[in-house]
Amino acid sequence: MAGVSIHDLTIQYTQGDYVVRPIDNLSVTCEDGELVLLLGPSGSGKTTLLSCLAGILTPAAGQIFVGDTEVTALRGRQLADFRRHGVGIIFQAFNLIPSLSARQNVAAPLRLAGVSGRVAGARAEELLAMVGLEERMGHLPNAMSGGQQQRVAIARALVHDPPLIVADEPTAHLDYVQVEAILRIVRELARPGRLVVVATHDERFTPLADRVIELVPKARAGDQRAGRVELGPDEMLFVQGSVGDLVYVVEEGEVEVFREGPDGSEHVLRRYGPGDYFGELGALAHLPRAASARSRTAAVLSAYGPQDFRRLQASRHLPAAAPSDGL
Amino acid sequence: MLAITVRDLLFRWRQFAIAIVGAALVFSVALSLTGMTAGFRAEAKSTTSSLGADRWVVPAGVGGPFTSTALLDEAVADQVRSLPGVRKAEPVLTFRTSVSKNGAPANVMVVGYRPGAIKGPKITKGRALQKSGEAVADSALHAGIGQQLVLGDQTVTVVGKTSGKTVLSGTPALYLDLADVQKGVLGGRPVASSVITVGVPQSVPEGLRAITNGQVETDLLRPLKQAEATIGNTRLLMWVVAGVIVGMVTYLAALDRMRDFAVLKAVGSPSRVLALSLCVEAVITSLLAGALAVVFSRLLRGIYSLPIVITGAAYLALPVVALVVGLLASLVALRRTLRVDPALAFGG
Repeated sequence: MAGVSIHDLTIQYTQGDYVVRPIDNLSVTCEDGELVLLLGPSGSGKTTLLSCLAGILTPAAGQIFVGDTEVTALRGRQLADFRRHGVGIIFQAFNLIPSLSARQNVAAPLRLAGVSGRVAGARAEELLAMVGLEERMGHLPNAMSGGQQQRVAIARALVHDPPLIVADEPTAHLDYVQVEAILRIVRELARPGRLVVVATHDERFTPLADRVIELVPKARAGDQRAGRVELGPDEMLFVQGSVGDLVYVVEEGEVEVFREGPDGSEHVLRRYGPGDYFGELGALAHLPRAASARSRTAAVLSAYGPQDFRRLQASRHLPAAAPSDGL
Repeated sequence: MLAITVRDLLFRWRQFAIAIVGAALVFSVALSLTGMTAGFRAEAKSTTSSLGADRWVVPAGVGGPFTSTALLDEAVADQVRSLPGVRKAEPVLTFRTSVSKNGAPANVMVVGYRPGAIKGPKITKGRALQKSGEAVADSALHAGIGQQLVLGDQTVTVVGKTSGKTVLSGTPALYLDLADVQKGVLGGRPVASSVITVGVPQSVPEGLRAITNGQVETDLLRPLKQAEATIGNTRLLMWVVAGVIVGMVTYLAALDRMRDFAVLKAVGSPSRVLALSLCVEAVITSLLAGALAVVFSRLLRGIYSLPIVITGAAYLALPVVALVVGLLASLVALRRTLRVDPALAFGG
């Protein structure tokens, strides 16, 4: 049985001089044979989660089980074995080796695992026939359409007959004619003994899915209601990574915006005093906050929804905020 | 993995072909330089052995007959002839000078001996020296049979040709009657620069020393030591340049293949297998360049006026050097390949 269970998974990585935490304390269970969709906006951690499922990325905390195998506990040779036999990966950009024919691309993982050329070739032909590419086996990737290349990539992902297939935006580079075939093939991949997890923006997958996991950054308490906000000294207003719907105008006191560094240090981006405003980018574009905000002194702020803020901007002629804040 | 490597080489054949031709040219220059130093030794050996001597008796304190202007009385030969162990002794006068050929001077190493008394050089064309007024010239002098040459006030006619008898990096030997050299260079004084013996003298009179052919060769090579060292260093530089060429193309190919490597790592291929692929790629490139260099070195031989002797050992050493150069060159790209993050395979 090839179910996947994820417990309290947190993934974070360093981007330049600050820390990004796209997945925070995620727990979810998927059953064997399901087609599972990971949905969410860009930056919500879909691809990152796939990388962890494939044993390519090590999470900061939590556990991932594929069947009885705790992927997050594997290291070295065991991890390489899991990547080789336990999971098949379908990449967004196909990632076929340009110097190899379709047959050789599919056979490559087997050859690298020490399987003889004859056996690997026969398996590759069988899988290419399964995805409808009997006539294109000897072609190089640059002589095939995007849809055909993705079908070769699907055949390659199946070459070890893994219990888990992860697919990262498998239809992103395809036109609508090619998408249909890929949707059908991906749907057929999910069957007893094999779980398929697809990260996608493509809503055409949704009706085909057995389970949909929406990856949306969690909102934080205190960042929800418009109106007057009173803060004591050193009180957090919102934290980096949370989704904010509000724009803040400082009425009294001082607020600082900062990012957390990889070593836990704080890097102050800017300080705001009376008349200044911040947080409009996250609110207007519905993006996760790119930094945290905290009062330096006792402070009073006015929180506005996007529409109200626009009206306020027009009536009071507020200046544009510094774009580097990215809030 | 070898199949993937070979396919990649074929896929990027233009890139690798340029590197192979470039490295082959550099290898061939290095091979020619090896041939040059071997040529110095070969010419010294060939010229020294051309008179069939077992020992060369020269004034004490003299390095050898070809590099010194110290002279002996011709009559010393009679003294040496009577020494125990000596079966034959003949005076020889060697002198580095110039002769006039068609009115133009040409550098030569004249070798004067009494024709018929000792074995002369091996003749490749014409006949051996028989009497005064005749000469046997090395082919490097480019003098045909019948060509007249002027040495001082002596005019001699080329009757025979020999080859490989040069000294000091290509100066041709000109074999003459002893008396012609004495008249042409030294105003007829009855002197010699050495007495060659057949048989080994057990001892020599005071003021003389007997040296072997090997010592004569070493003495002949002494003035070329600096040139030899420079050639050696240049040759080393050529290997490095070839390594840089192979390394550069391997590195560029590795950069092109970073995503391929990331994908292969993501599907469980060990880093060492990928590293091996790069090494094999660099080694194949280097070995092909080495093979092509053999052809190039033969074509290039005509552009050098120095004696070049590329020995079988040099040809055998070439693939070994090429292998080492290829392996070292691949190290440049190796680190990058080993560190490639399989997560790079994700994304558009």
